[in-house]
Amino acid sequence: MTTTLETPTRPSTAGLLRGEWIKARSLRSTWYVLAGSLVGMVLLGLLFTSTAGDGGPGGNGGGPPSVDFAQPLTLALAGYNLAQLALGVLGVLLVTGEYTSGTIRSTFAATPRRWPVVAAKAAVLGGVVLVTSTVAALASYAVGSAVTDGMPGLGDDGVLRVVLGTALYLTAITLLGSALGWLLRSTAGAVATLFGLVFLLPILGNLLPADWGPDVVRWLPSSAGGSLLRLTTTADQFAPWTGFAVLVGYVAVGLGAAVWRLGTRDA
Amino acid sequence: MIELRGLTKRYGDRLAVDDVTVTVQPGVVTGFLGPNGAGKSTTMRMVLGLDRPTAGTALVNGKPYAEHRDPLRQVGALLEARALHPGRTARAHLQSLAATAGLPKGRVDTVLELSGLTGVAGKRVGGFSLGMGQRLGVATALLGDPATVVLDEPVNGLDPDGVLWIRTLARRLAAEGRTVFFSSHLMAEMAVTADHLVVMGRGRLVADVSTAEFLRRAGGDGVRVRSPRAAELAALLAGPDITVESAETGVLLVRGVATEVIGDRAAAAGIALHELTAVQASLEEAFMTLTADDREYRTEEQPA
Repeated sequence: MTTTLETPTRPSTAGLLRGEWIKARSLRSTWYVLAGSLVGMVLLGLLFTSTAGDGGPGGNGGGPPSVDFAQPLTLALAGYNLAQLALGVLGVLLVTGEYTSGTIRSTFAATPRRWPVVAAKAAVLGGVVLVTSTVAALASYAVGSAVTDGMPGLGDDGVLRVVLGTALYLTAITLLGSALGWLLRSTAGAVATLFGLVFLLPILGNLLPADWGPDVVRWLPSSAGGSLLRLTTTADQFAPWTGFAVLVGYVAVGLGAAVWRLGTRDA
Repeated sequence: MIELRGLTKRYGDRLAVDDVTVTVQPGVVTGFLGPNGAGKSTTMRMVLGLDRPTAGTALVNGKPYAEHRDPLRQVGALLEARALHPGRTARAHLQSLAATAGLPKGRVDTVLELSGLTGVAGKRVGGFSLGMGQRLGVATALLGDPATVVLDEPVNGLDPDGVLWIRTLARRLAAEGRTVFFSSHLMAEMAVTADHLVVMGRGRLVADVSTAEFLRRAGGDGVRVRSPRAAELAALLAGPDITVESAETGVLLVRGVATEVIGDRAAAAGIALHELTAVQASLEEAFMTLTADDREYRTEEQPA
């Protein structure tokens, strides 16, 4: 300790991002979730596309009306349902893990203004998940194309938008999990809330009266964001990019609320 | 240097910290004493800008903590045991903070070496013993080579070797001119480590004195005298500013007179002494006396 630092050094944005990246990559759970999401998504897509037409939902046109099971592209990417669950939990865990372990105090001691931590975590998490889910979506599409004849080409109208949109959607859901983690600080609470928002509310929404129910349902985060994943949208749904903008709006509001709460609350 | 001015923290209708004004000086080890619930940890969290004061200010090296551009180089803190993610290695934990604070890479190895953790740097913290966790906590506190070091209960869970390490480290950091502020409920440890004491009870400042003065003030030093003619000796010693107590037959506790004086007077009067011992009040006793009314949790009967 007798040696003092020769070169005066300062915290910087790059340093903050690198610090958050070290935190994320040094936990095994991060890699398990990313690998699991990627592999799970591709394998599920393979299962659905390769069994379509064999009496599955793709063959007889059954299932919920909101899903177009006859479209091979939808089947190839359907594994995103599993991936959003896993990635959303990752978003929650990278935040609540700091609270349950107590490292949040060291984190805020190093960055007392706090909001840069929220931004840096979102940036690192968003970047990592965007890359992973882009690979997963492209791989799912490639695998699906290999096993079915009816797959539309990437150059066809809207196809590339759906494939890359899947990655954007998954990134947004991950960041929604992150925002809930900051707001609730409890892993169980944030995961339950995320599941409720993403999975439960759309199901319950379908039980609402037909004359106004769809107007409620299309505003839900997963329904609005899900518009980006459809080749064709119905009158009940937002247009693809409008719907995605609504989802991004929820993420922005969530992260904004998190920053505001952090500023007023004791760590 | 840490300057607290009218520092107050209220949780609902409970005052956790009540109008505390105190300055913690650099160059000495300042012990922070107080029973559980006295407000020590809350005070330390406010110093680090983690909890916001209801009233008053906490300045570190002249500024509120959050206004420092390089906070980890100003203050290093160990706030609670095991504030570490169990799934991360010791090295990754330190590296993430070093990157965030913009510290040179070499600091991580330096503090790992300093805390004796170099051999386990690549192991996940979940497998660490309480003592190893504490050492990593101290390593974290020293990462930024800070001018002010705040340690909350650093010796908790440490083996005798670790306790000695903390004691030596605290004294060396102070000798280097740093401000060292550390809390403990182990009075004996404080007595040998701290030069100065800040004592809190029920959120209030009870004492802000040197360790020696604290002991003296609390009833302090006396002389234990055993003699078959104790009553005669007691009468002989009586005088202004001198107290003589007798807890058991033939034994006196005399305050206000030096051992030499007692021995000489007894010899002059021809009174035989079987024991003549200077006794120093323990920090424990001093603490109990001072905070008797300020303990939040206490058992019905105090041990004698």
